[in-house]
Amino acid sequence: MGERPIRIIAFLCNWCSYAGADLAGTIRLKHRADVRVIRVPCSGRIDAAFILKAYERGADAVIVGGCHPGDCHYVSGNLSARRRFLVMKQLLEFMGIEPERFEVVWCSAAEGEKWAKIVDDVCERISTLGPFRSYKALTASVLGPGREIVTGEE
Amino acid sequence: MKNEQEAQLRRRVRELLNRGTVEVLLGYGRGLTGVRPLFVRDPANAEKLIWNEHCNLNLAGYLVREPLKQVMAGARIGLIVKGCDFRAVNVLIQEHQVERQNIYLIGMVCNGIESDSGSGILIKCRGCNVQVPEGTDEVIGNPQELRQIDGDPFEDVRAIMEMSLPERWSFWTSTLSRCIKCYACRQACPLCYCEECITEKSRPQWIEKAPTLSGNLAYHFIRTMHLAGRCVACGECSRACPVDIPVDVLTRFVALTIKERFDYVAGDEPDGKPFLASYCEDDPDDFIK
Repeated sequence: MGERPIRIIAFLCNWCSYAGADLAGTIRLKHRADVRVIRVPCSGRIDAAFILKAYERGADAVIVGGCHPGDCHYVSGNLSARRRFLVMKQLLEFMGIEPERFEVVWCSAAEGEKWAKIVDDVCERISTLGPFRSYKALTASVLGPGREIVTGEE
Repeated sequence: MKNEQEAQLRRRVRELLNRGTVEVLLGYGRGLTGVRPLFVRDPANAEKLIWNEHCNLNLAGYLVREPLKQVMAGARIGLIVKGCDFRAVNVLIQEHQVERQNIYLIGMVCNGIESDSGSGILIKCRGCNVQVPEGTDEVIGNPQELRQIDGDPFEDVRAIMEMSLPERWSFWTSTLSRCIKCYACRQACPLCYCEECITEKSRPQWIEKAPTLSGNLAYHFIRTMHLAGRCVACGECSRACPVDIPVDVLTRFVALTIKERFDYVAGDEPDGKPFLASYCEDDPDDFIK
């Protein structure tokens, strides 16, 4: 059975990172096509539940992107998010999830090239690391009556 | 051995109730199998209060629990706190759930709490710097008789940090496979007071209700995130767990991270800012690309 391509979900803030990713397209930069972008109003909107839901639905990695400090459209959404992202990243690692599967970037509307490079880098690393099989096994496991793990076929 | 501190506590509570300084007092009483919460309204019942090294409960949660919240609305409430419990009260004050002037806090000088399993003083008590609570309305006990508690309060957390990634993954997935999602950890937590919890949301459903491992993992991850910068390590969650999952290890890991990276300890001051609702310009950003 052939391996399906890797799948990466990016949550990008409307004002900077999304515009940056848009710019990458406008100026015809080429980057790997394994990333799917979800636009959010601000990086401060990105909740821990988003990340887990992405993994649950088959993402091999998640990128979250916001404005550089000082550039936030809402003044401090990204600064509040920064603390949360640090805790999230540490906690994912504490629970045994590879740190490569959660990336945080600051990317401005002018940084199309930076965005393209980040996508390529993340895709490269995740290709080497492989799909997030361990999480997929989790999604497929229903806990049986005796709490044993019943693993279904993917 | 005569328990002078307990006698002093009973005396003071009787006075406070007689004088009307407090109308109801929350303290510890003798339960069937150990210590239980005790509500005292009648000064004569102050005799039923107990204080010893088994008073592990954090009573702060009762300040925000329905229907007690309604029963006690308007009444001046007295609350017995250890230094660590006082931190939880502070978090509730920071988050505007409790008004400081509506509660009367009796702080207990504490020499550490014994674990229920009989394995000595609790890990969280090690290195305690609030054995004599500061900032309560009064303190009961003799600070001169303090015994310092040495050791690392994060020993169990560090043991997991030292594991390799795959080891941690298999540790947590096998541990969390026991979770029956009874939500006892949420109910027991003095800081989980949302009237509508994300676990009850079904449109969209963030946390799977079916007994899947991914749902269990999501629940515990999100629970831990919701306690980031708030958990005071009282351990109510783990004590409440019917299948012995050390859920407080997760929240205490985050507490340790925040302490090391931000020099922030939850509930240190009543007028402090909640961790995730504030920021500094120079917060660590070495993990951001």
